[in-house]
Amino acid sequence: MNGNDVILKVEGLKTYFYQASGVTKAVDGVSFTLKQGSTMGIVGESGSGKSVTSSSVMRLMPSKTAKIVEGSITFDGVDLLKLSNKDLLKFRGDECCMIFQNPMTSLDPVFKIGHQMVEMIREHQNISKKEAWDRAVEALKLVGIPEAEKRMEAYPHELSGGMCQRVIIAMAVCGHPKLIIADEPTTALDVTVQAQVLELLKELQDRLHTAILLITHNLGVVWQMCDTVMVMYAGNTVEYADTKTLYQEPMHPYTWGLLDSMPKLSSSSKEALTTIPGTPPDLRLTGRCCNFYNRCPYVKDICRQSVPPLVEIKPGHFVACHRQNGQNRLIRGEVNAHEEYEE
Amino acid sequence: MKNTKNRKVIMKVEHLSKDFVIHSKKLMEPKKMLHALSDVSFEIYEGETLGIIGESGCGKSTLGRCLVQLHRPTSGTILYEDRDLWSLSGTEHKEARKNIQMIFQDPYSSLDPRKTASYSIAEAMKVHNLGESARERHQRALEALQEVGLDVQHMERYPHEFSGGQRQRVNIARALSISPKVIVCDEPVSALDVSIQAQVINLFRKIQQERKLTYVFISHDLGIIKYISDRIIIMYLGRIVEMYTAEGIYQNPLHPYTKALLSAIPPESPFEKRERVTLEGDIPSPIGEQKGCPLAGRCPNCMERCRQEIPQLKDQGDGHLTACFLYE
Repeated sequence: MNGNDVILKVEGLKTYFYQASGVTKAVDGVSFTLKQGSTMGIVGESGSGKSVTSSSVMRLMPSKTAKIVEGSITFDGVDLLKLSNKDLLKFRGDECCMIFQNPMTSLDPVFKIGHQMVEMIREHQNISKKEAWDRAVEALKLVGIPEAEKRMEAYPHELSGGMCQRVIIAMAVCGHPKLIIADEPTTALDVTVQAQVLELLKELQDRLHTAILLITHNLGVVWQMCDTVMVMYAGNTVEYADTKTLYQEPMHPYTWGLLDSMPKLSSSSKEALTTIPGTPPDLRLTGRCCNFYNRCPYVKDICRQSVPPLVEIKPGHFVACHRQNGQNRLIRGEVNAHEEYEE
Repeated sequence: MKNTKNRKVIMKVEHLSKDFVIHSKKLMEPKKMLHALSDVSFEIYEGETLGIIGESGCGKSTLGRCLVQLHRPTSGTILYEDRDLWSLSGTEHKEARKNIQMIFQDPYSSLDPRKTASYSIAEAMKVHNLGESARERHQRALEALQEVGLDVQHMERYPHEFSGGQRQRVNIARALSISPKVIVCDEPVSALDVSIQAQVINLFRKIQQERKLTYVFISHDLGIIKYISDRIIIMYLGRIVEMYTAEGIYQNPLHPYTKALLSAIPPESPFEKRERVTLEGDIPSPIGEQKGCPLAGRCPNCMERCRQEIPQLKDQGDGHLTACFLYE
């Protein structure tokens, strides 16, 4: 374990898409570390680069258009960007597994569950078909599928969405991976099933001591599952802290907007929801200034001129905002009270 | 419930059932029936927002589609201003359809990709013979777009040129352009991002206050439903299991399914520890004959009686309706 327990370290990652219409900066400077056995959440709107970040870690980007321009990804001491295709195949599945959003499309509809699981296990482990079969049944039991032997003979369409997601999780834990990347694992599921799947993930994590990278847009899921959380906006990390700190003392104006725009169950107020005005920027045009400037109520001239760096304000609490960099402090809710005459 | 007695009932649903026939795959195999809705009765008061919650497959979308006459009910009646919708004919029928509009979940597939926003909106008016001339309809389409926060620059754009939130706004504008009385919203914000969601929800509330509209709001997001609704219906497997005011249902859920549903909501803060009421397994299939309470197989409080009889909606005082033998 190289003396420390960091399993995944991503530094200054930039993944660009080269298209006829221009260069889309899908991920433009993302850094985080993930400790062994812990859970990190990535939150953000669609198009903020959360999925591209995870696909970059798995090196699942389309090689013709996408390119990792800068940065490094270190997994357990190994630089993933230098791995050959053959080593990558071993890495995916052995060390690291991915769970996708839609369970129905991540299984092949024309093969039985058992066939797919055995194929996957034998790809990574040198064991007989019989042994692989037994291991698959065991994994299905582990994730709480009733009558596991019978389900091995079922086709994906015969199972419900929640069951399919359990099968995917079973496939993921077969190889005892050190890291599971879950890309919106419960978005396609109902609330009660979502709660079951999340509990299952947590239980498996305790038992197998894997790290989980959880990508979601649901802050409630983050509160329930994660130890640390990274907020992304338009390809950048805007805030990164442990979950409780982020909830109690969020620093970035975008995080404030995100927290405020969720209707609260406990409050009975019928006041209008606080919203973030406007829409996210076109990712082909970002990179010269703070990406949030056109939606931020606290915007100042400096925000339009340069990209704010990610600064560690308190130990473990990183924020990328010109107006929150340690010397300057913003107070949540006090919009431009004294700045107006300044301009 | 406060002052429901003196409020006007705008729509009334009585013993509504909708079955779908599933055609047999094998020769000589008998047809099967899918019971999407069974014996659903409720009233919608003028100017209120009625929330409908349930998991996928519970019949909430079928109910919405029945209300706007996209499905013909197998049995039961839907009354709009005391008249049976399916017995109307000619101009009366058209008038009723104009007054009940729907906004669909997916803003991408509910607009014609080959028509501009102004055309899509004006078309609805043309169908209902509103507006004297094409020019007037165009003008009214612009007014509708401005009401939902879009502008003249968006008039001649095609759907692919809009973002998801803007597209949903165009859908809302289209529904508003013909001045309906009731709008059925089938998961109108679930395809949108959190920050955009809040914008659209605020828009819904603003329009309701200005135009005194009645909403039927279908969603599986319990936070949003609570925020926007006055009364809530909770559905499970084609039946209403609980109906009460939004506040009341969250504070004092009675039905075991409601309790489980509410306890499954992800917490609001990392410090919150919620006591979970878990339901075993998945929703049973709505195909075939039903016997007993639909929740019987998953319910932690299941009794022998639950497997034999179907519980009816009963008033537990103050208009809090629930269908469970625990409260009899």
